[in-house]
Amino acid sequence: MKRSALHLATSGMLLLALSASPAAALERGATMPSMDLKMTNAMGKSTALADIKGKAGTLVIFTCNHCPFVKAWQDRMVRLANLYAAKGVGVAFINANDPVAVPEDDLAHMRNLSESKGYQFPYLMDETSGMARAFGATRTPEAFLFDKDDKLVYHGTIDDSTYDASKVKHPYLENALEALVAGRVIEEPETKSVGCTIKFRPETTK
Amino acid sequence: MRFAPSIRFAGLWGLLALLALAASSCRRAQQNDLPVVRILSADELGARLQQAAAPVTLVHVWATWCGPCKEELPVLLRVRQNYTNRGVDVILVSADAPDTRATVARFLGAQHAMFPSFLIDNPNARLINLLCTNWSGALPASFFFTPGGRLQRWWEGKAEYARYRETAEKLLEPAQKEMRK
Repeated sequence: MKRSALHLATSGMLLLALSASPAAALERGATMPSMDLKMTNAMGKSTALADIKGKAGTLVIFTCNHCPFVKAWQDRMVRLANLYAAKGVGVAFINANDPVAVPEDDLAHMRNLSESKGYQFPYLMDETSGMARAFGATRTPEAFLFDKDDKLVYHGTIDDSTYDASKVKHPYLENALEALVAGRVIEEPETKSVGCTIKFRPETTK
Repeated sequence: MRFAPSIRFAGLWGLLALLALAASSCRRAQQNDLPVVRILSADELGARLQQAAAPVTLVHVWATWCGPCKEELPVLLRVRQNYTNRGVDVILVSADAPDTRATVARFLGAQHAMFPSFLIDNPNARLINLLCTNWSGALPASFFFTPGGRLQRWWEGKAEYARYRETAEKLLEPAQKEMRK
């Protein structure tokens, strides 16, 4: 009973959040927003995108723990993130979901996931969902790739085969990362797929 | 009356066989109680929209693990019940993983959605571009088409029955005028 009341309340908040936000996603060429906003990493340490930026560029993926699409892509995302973190790309995975709406998206589960999947980059909690709002992110997983001057050069999904890694024909994010590191033009800078909605926290009134 | 042990033994086997038969027919009945969920590609969905005979086709994309989708599903069943005979073909397309098709069928069965429905093999950009290029990919999402695969109305997020009713009535108007002629 209590649970269903809570569920109803959170669904209501989700609807409000959906109708109130989101802002349009960042346009290509836009500067990385909110670089100094502090977030808490899965180990409880405070950090900001300004501390994470890489020499070759920066990859930010809005993700979470519970979403079945994230789970389907998880190993592919982590492989790419670890690979390009080693090639000078700063990497941050950000969870903007409200754990009140989705208990599995709390910090303890983030720590377990990042340890079990071998994240060699920070997994950050966006504690107000303000970072997701600043990016205009709406889904998980949703990737934003910036060049060395912090300008957006790729926005979108991971690849074109959500559930079956063996059937990927267009590894969009990998192609974008490879082009960025090699100094080439990114051929498909904007891509899409079905994803989970970000479960935004209610916006605080100013 | 006394039976020889061998006859008693045969009787016991017969009884067991009858019980097994009853159990298997129960299992069959349970399986028959679940709706068919067919795996569909974006190309197949596109062909279906192109060749649609109904004046209006409503494609609704959802998933069993999506809270708002589950809350909204009874609304879609009501739309289907009230508008199938009036010319709206309601197509439910699940974005669950293909290997969880049985879960989708069980969920729909529990909702008494006993008509055939679909599961998209790959919810990628091909699906988004087929339905509406402006769709962010959020679930649930509803798309109203007229024959020839022409998108007329769409939205993402859940909606009340009234919104579906108003949209269906509006889109059925030309077909109704045609019938009155």
